[in-house]
Amino acid sequence: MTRLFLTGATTILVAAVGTVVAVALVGAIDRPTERTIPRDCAPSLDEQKAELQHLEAESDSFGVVPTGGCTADTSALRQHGPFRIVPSGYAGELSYKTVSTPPAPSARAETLAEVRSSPLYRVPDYVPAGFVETLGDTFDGDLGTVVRVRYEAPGREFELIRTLRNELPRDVYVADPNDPSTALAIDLTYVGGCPAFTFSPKSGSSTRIAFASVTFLCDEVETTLRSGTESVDELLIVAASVQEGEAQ
Amino acid sequence: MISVRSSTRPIITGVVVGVLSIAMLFPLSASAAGNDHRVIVGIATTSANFFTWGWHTPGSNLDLNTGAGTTAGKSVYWQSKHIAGTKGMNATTIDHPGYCTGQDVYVTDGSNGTALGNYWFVHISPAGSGTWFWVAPSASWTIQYMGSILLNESNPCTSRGLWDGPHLHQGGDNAASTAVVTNWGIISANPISPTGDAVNKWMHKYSW
Repeated sequence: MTRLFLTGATTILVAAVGTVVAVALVGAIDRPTERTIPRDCAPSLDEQKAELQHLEAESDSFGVVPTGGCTADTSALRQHGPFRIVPSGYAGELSYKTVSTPPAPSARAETLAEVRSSPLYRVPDYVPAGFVETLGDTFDGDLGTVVRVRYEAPGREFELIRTLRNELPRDVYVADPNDPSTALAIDLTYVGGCPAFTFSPKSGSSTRIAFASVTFLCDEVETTLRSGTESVDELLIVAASVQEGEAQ
Repeated sequence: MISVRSSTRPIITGVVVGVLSIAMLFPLSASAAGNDHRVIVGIATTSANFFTWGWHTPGSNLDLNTGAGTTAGKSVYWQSKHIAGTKGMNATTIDHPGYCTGQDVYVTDGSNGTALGNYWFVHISPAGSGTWFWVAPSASWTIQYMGSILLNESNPCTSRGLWDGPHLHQGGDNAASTAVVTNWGIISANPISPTGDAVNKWMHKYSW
C-alpha cells in the first residue's frame, strides 16, 4: 500500500515538474525577449587625444568631433515604421524586442551559386541595362539570415543585400546633419508601402560623395541597395521592383 | 650554362654595380608612384588580442578584444597612417546592412572618385552614417571616431555563434578588384602589440 502510494506520488511529482519545465521552455521560446544597451556620448577631442596618446598624433590628425553635446532624452529618437533613427548626439538607453525565433544556423557562402539557394535571395524584376550578377556571399551572416549580391555593368556597380530582422526596432545611426563634414543626408520614405530610408549626397555639402543607398523593411526582411555609381532615384526603382516581386 | 668571355666581365660588372647603386640611392623609387595608407587595430588600446580562428571571410576580418580589462564601451576609431604616395582618400561612414550592428566606411580615391573597397567595424554602437573625412597623403595619422564596443548584440547575431562577449569585428573588402591588402602575418603572435606600429602591425593597407 505504501509502495503504491509512493509510486503514485512520484508519478504526480514527475508530471508536475515536467509540466512546469515544459511551460517554462515554451514560454522562453514564444515570449518576446527584450534587451537594453547603453549608448555613450562620443569622446571630446581631448578625450580622443588621451585615449590615443600612444600614437603621438598631431591635433590635425583627428577628424570630425561632434560639438553639439549629447542628450539622453528619448524624444531625440525618431520612429519610422520598424526603423528608429538614432542621432549621433543621443547618449541614452536603447531597447529592443525579439519578435520571432530565428531559423537554425545554416552554412555561410561565398559564391553566387550558393547564395541562390537562400530563401532570402531575390532577383529584381528591373535592373538598369547592362547589369549582371557578378559576386555573391552571406556578408556577416549565413544563408538563413543575410545574402549579398553584387551587380556590375562596365564602370558601374550596385549591391543588393537582404537581411533577416527578427529583433526590432532596427536602428539607423545618423551623423549630425548640421555638421559641415556630413556628406550624406537621410530621407524617410516608403517602397511599395514598406517603410524605407535613403542616404544620398547632401545638398550644399562641401564634399560631394557619389554614394547612395535605399533600405526598406517588410515582414521582418530588410532589403538594401547601395552604390557608388547609381543615383538614389535609380536605386529606388530597383528596390520597388524587388518589393513588387515579393508581393506577388 | 651561359659562358661569359673574360673581356666582357668588367663591363657587365660595371653595369650591375651601376644599377644597384641607383637602386640604393632611390630605394622608394619603385613604390613612389604607389599610394600606401595603413589601417591598424581600431580599438583604443596599445595591445589587442585576436580570437583563435584568426583571419576570416567574407573579406578579411579579425575579431579583437583588449585581453585584460573591459572591452565593452571601449572607443573604436579609424586609425590609418600614410606611408607613401601622393593621393589621399575620401572616406564616408555608411549604414551597415548586415544582421550584426556596425559601421561601414565607403572609401574612394581622392583624385578621381574610384571606389577602393569598403571597410567596416562591427559589434559597435556606431557614431553615425554620413560623416566624411579625408585620409591625407601626408606623413601623419588619420583618426576618426567610429563608435564604442557593444555590451550585448542583436538577435539573431547572438544566436549564430558570432557573439561570445564584447569584441570588435574589423575588416575590409580585399577582393582582387579593390585596393585593400591584408597583412596576414599580423597574427604571428597574440596579442597584437603595440597596435600603434603602422610599419609592422597594420591590419590592412589601401595600396594602388
